[in-house]
Amino acid sequence: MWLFHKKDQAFILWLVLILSLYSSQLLAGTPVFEIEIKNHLFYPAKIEIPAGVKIKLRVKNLDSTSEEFESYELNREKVISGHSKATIFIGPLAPGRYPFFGEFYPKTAQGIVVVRDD
Amino acid sequence: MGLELVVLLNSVILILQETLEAALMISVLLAVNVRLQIKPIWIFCGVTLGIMGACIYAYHIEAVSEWLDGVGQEFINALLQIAIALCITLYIYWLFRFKGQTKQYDLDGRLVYSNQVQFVLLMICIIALGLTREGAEVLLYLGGFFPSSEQRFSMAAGSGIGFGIGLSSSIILYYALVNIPGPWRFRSAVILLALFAANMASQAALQLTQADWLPHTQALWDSSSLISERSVLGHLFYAIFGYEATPSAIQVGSYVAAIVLVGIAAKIGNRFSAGSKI
Repeated sequence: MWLFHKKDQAFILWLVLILSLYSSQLLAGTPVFEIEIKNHLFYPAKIEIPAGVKIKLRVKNLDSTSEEFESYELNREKVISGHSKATIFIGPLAPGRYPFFGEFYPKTAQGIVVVRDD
Repeated sequence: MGLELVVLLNSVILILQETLEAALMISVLLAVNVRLQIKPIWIFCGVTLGIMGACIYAYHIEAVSEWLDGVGQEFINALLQIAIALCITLYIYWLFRFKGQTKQYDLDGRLVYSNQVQFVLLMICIIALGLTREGAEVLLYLGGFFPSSEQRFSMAAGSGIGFGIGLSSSIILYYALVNIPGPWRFRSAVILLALFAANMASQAALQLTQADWLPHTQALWDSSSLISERSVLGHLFYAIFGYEATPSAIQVGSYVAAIVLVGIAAKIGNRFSAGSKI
């Protein structure tokens, strides 16, 4: 530390502090949430995620028919064939409620992403 | 009875949505064709190729979705949409380059030169690419009903109704465009084409954001209280010019960039049209 001026020391200290605050996010990777589609229903129908974090949704279609995961609020749309899975990235999102549905069977396949204020 | 009705209504809405986008595009191109003096027979070619593409895409959707670490579907969709946007840009460039004329006659009235082929090829591409993506979605939806025979009739009836509404809307649009008087007939068709290209560009940006290839950006506005994406008007505006209630900054940026690109293409085409053969 005797190599650096007082100002540089302060800067390094702040840098270390800020990096440590975000390090958990940098090292942990994108959090993954799993959703299953069974009999044209989402399991779970409600998922809670923290605000301001990018999330990886892994949707597994256990039905034999295709479904389309769609959400106007999340601006996401993806077809998932029968007996297969799909990866969809959402967020970072502001706190609120973001409904999603299955476009092929919208009356039953409905769910919601609740973004918590942490 | 309840389930049949639900399936019927779902089918109407789904097929209508997909039909509307393709049908509106065909209407605008047909309206421009009147000026270009091109016979509309190319539609059959474009639609056939589009259906073939849709079958291939739908058949391989599972494999495609696994590509590129699970985002193959977004990649292919974005590719198709960008290709359509580029085709439309080139089309508009040629429109202005050849001043909307595709045939040249000599003094005796004999046909000397015709460059209709390039316009026709481009239009076939646009329709085929568009139908590939939307058609695949329709096929995957319809395919889900074939193992079960109970709701098949409702699905078929609903699909027919949805298709019919989409077809009617595009016919109305065609006659509306063709009956606009004066220079605004050409201008309105070009504006609609430009908006469609911009729509494709912003949709492509959305697909790539979904795939995490483009960074997530904040929504620039929220107009869902004015026109909800769920409403009839919302769906119509989405089909015509890609209305989004909460578009991200990248989406809006892509949209504007596409419009600027089309504008530049039109300007350059205009500049080169002075000494052209036609």
